[in-house]
Amino acid sequence: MRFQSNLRRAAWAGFVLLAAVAGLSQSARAADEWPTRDITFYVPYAPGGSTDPISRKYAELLEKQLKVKVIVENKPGASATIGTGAVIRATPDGYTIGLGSSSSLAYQPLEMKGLAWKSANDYQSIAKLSDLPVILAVPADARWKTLDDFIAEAKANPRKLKVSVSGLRSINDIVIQQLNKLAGLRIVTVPFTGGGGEATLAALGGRVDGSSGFAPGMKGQIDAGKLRVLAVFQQGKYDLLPDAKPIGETPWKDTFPVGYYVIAPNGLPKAILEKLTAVSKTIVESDEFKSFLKANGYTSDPKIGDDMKQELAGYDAKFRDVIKFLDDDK
Amino acid sequence: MNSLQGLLYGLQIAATPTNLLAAFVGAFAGTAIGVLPGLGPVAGVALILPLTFSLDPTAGLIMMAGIFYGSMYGGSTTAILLNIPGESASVVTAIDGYQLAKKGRAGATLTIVAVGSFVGGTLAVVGVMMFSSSLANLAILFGPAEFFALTAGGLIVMSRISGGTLASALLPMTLGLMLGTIGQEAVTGETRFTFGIPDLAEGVSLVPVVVGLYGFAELMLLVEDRAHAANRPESVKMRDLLPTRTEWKRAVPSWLRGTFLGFLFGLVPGPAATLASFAAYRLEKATSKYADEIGTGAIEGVAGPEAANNSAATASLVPLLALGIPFTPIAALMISAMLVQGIQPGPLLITQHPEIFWGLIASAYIGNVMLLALNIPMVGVWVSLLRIPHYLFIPLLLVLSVIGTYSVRNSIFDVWVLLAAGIVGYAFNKLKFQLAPLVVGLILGPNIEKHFREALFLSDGDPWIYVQSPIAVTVWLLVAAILIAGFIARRRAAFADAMAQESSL
Amino acid sequence: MTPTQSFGLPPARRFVGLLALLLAAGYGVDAWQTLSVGRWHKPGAAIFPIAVAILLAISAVSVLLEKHGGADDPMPATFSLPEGADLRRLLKVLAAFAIYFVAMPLIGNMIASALFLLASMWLLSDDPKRSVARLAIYAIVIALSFEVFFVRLLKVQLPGGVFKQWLF
Repeated sequence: MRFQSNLRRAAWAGFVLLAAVAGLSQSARAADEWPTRDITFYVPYAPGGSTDPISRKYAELLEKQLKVKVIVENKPGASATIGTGAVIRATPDGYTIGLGSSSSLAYQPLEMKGLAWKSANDYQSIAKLSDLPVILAVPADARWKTLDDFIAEAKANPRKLKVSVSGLRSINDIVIQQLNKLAGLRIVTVPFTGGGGEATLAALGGRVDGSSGFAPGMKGQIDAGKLRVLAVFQQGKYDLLPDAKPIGETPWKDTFPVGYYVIAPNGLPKAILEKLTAVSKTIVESDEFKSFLKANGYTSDPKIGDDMKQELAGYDAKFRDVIKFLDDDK
Repeated sequence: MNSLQGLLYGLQIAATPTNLLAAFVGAFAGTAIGVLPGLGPVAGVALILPLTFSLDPTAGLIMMAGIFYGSMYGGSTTAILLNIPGESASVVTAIDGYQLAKKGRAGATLTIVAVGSFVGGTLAVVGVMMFSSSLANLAILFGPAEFFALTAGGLIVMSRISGGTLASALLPMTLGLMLGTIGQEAVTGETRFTFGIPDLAEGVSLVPVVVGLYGFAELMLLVEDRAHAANRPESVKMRDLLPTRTEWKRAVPSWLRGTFLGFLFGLVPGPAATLASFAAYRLEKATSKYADEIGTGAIEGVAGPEAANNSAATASLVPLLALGIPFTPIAALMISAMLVQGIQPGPLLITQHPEIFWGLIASAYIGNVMLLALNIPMVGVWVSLLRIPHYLFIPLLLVLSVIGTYSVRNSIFDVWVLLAAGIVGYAFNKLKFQLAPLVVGLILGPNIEKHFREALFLSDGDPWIYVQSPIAVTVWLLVAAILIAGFIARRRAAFADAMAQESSL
Repeated sequence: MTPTQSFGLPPARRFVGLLALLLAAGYGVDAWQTLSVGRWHKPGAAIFPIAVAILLAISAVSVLLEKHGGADDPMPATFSLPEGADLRRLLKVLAAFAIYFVAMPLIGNMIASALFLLASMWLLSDDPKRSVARLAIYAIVIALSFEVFFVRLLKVQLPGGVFKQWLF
């Protein structure tokens, strides 16, 4: 009897010890040998937008670096806050990371209540992938040949000129509102849905006076001479559209692009964070990634870790100003 | 390069071993994916997207197109055999297709569908080839007001899609509209009716509702009633796999009507394939000589919509290729594939990358032939699936529909929606409410609202915008004409009935 | 013939109509109170739901006011629901299905599927001499081939559950 219970006790002790060792080695191994299985990369937008190609390129290169599968998963909805929230709320084990944009990370927390993040402190900044500047294009047969023509008419006739944007308070809407604010204009933005396609179509069909969007979706029409680009909302020349006037050359130079970033949930083990950051740095600084960005109209602007965090904090202040302008204007 | 030269050039490209293989793999995988409930064309193309990056662009796009056609076709198989539409475009196919299957005509119906898909797809390719440059601009003419006319008018016309009394259709339809308002709306981004559930912010998605409403409800009917289950055909003779002469003869005009209608819908941006199949069903009810039989198992009710949805799927390549603007999730995925490969879709595609433009068109011919060759022999296999014992088959299908539903958005919540929709579908079945109008409402509701509000934003609050363009006015007049014609037809039928009763007295 | 219980169709339909009417009222009021109506040039999120609520109320009333039992009434007077063993079986399968959803994120899709397949096959099989071992083999084979086809081949993301790292 006694022998039996001793045996049982010993068995229990052994089991507990084994489990503890297994558990310890498991977690130590998990951090050291990361990654040992597939990584999921959430994209908070529907496939087909400007975010999809860049995410898939990053995932492809990450796959090569880490030697595991990186599965791109689109989780669209609620102005990209659903997919972004899914990353931020995920278990911080390095197997769930994702894409965030300056809109979903910095703008939406100001407008939406109840999100899991309020500032850049609430998630782990890994690396900035790129910027994508907003462009303003008008139908090819429009009477405005330059941005100055357009702004002069907008100034003379407040609330007469209409510009289509892909969604109310999307970055391309905010950029036009910023121009309104700086130049004292009242250009009306008309929100369309459907990822920029309908907004472009409205300009092509002459239902609006211009369209504010991104070059990758509009380049086909621009090259074909159906749309004319009046301005690109960045400081210097835009490689993809060298003839477009950068807003940096006008008095209303304070503008912003949409930025795309890789984020992870807070609380990643140190070893994983360091490895992921190092690998991402290699990727965004690689020639292959840079030439991909250039060919597709993205601007390379590698910012790693805290540099990226700082940039997002800066956006927070800018967005607050625009929101104040919009509220005053109501 | 004129169209014929272009096509010959395209055939040269599409007929290389790599591209033929891509078309075959696409058509095959597409059919397999389409047959699985819940996994529709979008899921299929999305799953294959990463794979295309390693192929050359032409082969990648050909494979995606193959999956698209294949799954459009495959979705009707389960609709006919089991009353489980594989995707939303097959909802109307289920109405008559399932009745035909119950009469032992499953094989014949599947053959009619395969050939109808081929006819619709092939004729639409000819149309795309001949008119693509001139029709591309049609999409540009459509703005919010025109879309509003199309979708709201469509809702009115299609409210009576599946017969029955008006109340039996109106109630489910408005429930569908209501479900469509849940979640974050598209225009100003307000979140509605989510009760604090984050999953609801994305809205109620179509797949779990369709699979639940039809498939799950049907399976529940099978579970509850063994007598009903025993009614299944034990074995199907070879003769029954082929349509009879009459069936062929009745299918031809429906194919042609469906193809024409589907082509028009495909040119207009929007959920073309689904709308085209619903509209074609409605058209068959209005024009077919056998309109009385539709709803109770008429070959026209299957032939028209199936030709229409494949024709629309093909025609929707026109706005995709010529404008470079995606209007459906599938088109968006194809554009994504082009961009990753460094190809800029748009009006210049045909001159800058003729190999892609003509290769894709030519592959649509080849893909349609392959689908036909692949699926006619499969008809026997599909029909024999019905002979699997129910205690194996029902659990298997339940698991499949869960996997399919889950995979669309990777959401366990959607699986609960499937269950809820199944219970509603079961109750509506028992209480003789129509199910198809609910699906119509859910599809069209968000579109109607979006275009309605976008139009007001655009006109700065001027409501006259809805009737200012010739296209919008034409659409509204058509809707009125269809309603009046239907009213007169019903009155006449009632009058004839009354006369018949009187004379028999 | 399986045992069923008959119910009158008209009262059941009227009950659905009543439910829909209540739903329309709740939904409409909620839309009015929580959403913004906007202005003509900035139409808000409340407009469409309110229109839908009105339409739903109209269709609910039209169901409530239906005339039944006339000579040309296309609808049958009754409908049947299963009872006894059939009802119990239906409810058991439904319960197994619901447990399957709950278990899926915890123990992973593959294991949950296998268990659900086994349970529902056992419930649905009429054969009193059914062999659990044989059904278990079916269940495991089906679950495993789904796993291989969907998860491994097609890369469908299904919940792996706690055993994920030990499988494959």
